[in-house]
Amino acid sequence: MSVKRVVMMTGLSAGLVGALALSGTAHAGELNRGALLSAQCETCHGTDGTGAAPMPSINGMDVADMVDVMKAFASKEEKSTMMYRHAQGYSDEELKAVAEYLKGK
Amino acid sequence: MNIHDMNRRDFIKLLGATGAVSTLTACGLPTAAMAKAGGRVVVVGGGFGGATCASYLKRWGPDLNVTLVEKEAKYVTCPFSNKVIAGDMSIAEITHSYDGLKARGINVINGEVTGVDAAAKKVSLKGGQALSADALVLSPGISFEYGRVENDDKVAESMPHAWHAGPQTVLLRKQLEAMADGGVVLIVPPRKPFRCPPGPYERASLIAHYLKANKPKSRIVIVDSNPSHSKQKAFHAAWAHLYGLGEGKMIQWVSGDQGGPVVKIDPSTMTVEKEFGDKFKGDVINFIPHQKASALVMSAGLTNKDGWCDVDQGTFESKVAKSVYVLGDSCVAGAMPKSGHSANSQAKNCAAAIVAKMAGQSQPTPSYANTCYSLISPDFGISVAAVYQLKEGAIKKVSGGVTPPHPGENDRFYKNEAKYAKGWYKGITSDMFG
Ligand SMILES: Cc1cc2nc3c(=O)[nH]c(=O)nc-3n(C[C@H](O)[C@H](O)[C@H](O)COP(=O)(O)OP(=O)(O)OC[C@H]3O[C@@H](n4cnc5c(N)ncnc54)[C@H](O)[C@@H]3O)c2cc1C
Ligand code: HEC
Repeated sequence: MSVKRVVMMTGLSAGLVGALALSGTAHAGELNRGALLSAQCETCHGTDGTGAAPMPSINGMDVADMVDVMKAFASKEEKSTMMYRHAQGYSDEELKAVAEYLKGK
Repeated sequence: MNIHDMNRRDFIKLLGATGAVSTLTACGLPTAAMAKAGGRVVVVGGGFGGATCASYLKRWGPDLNVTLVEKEAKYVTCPFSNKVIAGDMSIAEITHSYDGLKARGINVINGEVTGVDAAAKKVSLKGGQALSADALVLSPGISFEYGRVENDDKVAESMPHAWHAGPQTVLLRKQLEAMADGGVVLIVPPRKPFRCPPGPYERASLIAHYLKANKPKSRIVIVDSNPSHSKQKAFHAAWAHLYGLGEGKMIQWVSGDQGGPVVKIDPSTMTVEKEFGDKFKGDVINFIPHQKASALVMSAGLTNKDGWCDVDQGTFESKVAKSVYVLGDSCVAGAMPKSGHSANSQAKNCAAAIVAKMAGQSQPTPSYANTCYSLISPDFGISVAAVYQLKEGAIKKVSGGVTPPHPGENDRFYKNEAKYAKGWYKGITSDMFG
């Protein structure tokens, strides 16, 4: 049973649901730094990074692989038309937060 | 088990999530957020900013009551409308319904907002209905600022702007189809700032693509009021490569520095006149009027002296009205251009701010991105992209740039950019409406 459903059963408010979601429990309404950062990728790669052909899907990737490929895009070691310009905009810590969020999607 | 029989231990057991338990025990119940029970958000405008914001509010705050008010029954995107003008796509292919948002539990009202009471966070609709909210999000786009060019309010039919996608797009397409080979198309961009800085130049490109294949003796003259334009080097290199650039060639760009800005247009003689008297005659004229924030936010008293809305660039809350948020083309968003991608990105930060506030939590650090792809032909694309951060209250660019301008040497790059432009369109429209 999801957190949301339990809260609904107990008649608690939307505010509590938000607070629970923000604490990082797995939830449809999850909002944290990783979610907001990844939302910037989702514009191109589709909601939850599930892809928008020919834009590749980027969900469910291994965390280390994602961070590695992003750093390679940034250094241009990995060739890209677009990704180098985006990858260069994020710190290692941010890339890790993105990778962790998208891994679970 | 009946709800009333469930004690706190059962509740916690059911949660089965230790993270949530520690939040509850450490902080107790968030009483400030509790007071917001049934928190209601009204979003006005179902375009790039508004549709995205409504969708992400519901995603991150599933129990929020989210209402989206949009005056049109369906949304026609400006992105890719230049392809419709060039005859490469149909208007149906760029038209989207709100069914996906309705299915997500968003209350979509097809109606026009006629008044905004910013202090009361209340909007009134044509027909008399009124809606009040705990937070009000406005993403109503742009309005035209008439009176800056003589006759600019009289030419929507004779010199279609096609800067709101829909009937205007179709009208401009029809005029191009009716034009004889050897005709002259004038494109008249507005002065900066305006929605979609590369838009007039992408339009010139795709019209050139159509003319080259169908009416090869025709020409396009861009009669600019600005001394420079978006992605200029990349556009000019690609034009020279694909169509020919300069006087007598298929595309000619007349800078704002040559003869000054456009001051007069005359639909009876189909001419465009610059400040120092230079006149240009066209068979088809695409006159794009000057722009400012939507009349809706203007009449609500939310605009600054230049006609745009000042906001907190982290949350998009208006500088003049509490819990009223302004997104997209209408707002001043630091280094971000007025684009659909920018509006989408801003909407997510705004949704995060509202959800966090209503839950009594702090907003995750803002993060923004933009990309504007422009098609030089259906198979040749260029782009500008950037990632931004909030620094000292303003949105600042931290990475990005324009496609390198070396056409001919690496056509594959441009081919891939055109391919990914289609992916971008699919991605962003599914993100907004899916
Ligand atoms: C030719 C052209 C090409 C473009 N190409 C691109 C591109 O490739 N990439 C890109 O990122 N951007 C592009 N843009 C820019 C993009 O279209 C805008 O920046 C974007 O639409 C801004 O989003 P918004 O939410 O501010 O406004 P809009 O998307 O215009 O949405 C505003 C909505 O509010 C509704 N509305 C207004 N007033 C009311 C009212 N009183 N009551 C109810 N509803 C109301 C309108 O009907 C509309 O649906 C292009 C623009 C043009 C003109
Ligand atoms: C403007 C659109 C756009 C945005 C925004 C964007 N990407 Fe990409 N992404 C692309 C394109 C295009 C490619 C294909 C490589 C190329 O040519 O750049 C790609 C490729 C990738 C790949 C390689 C996937 C594969 O299977 O080959 C990864 C991983 C990736 N992106 C991650 C991200 C992450 C993470 C973000 C957000 C921080 C992001 N992207 C934001 C357009 C985008």
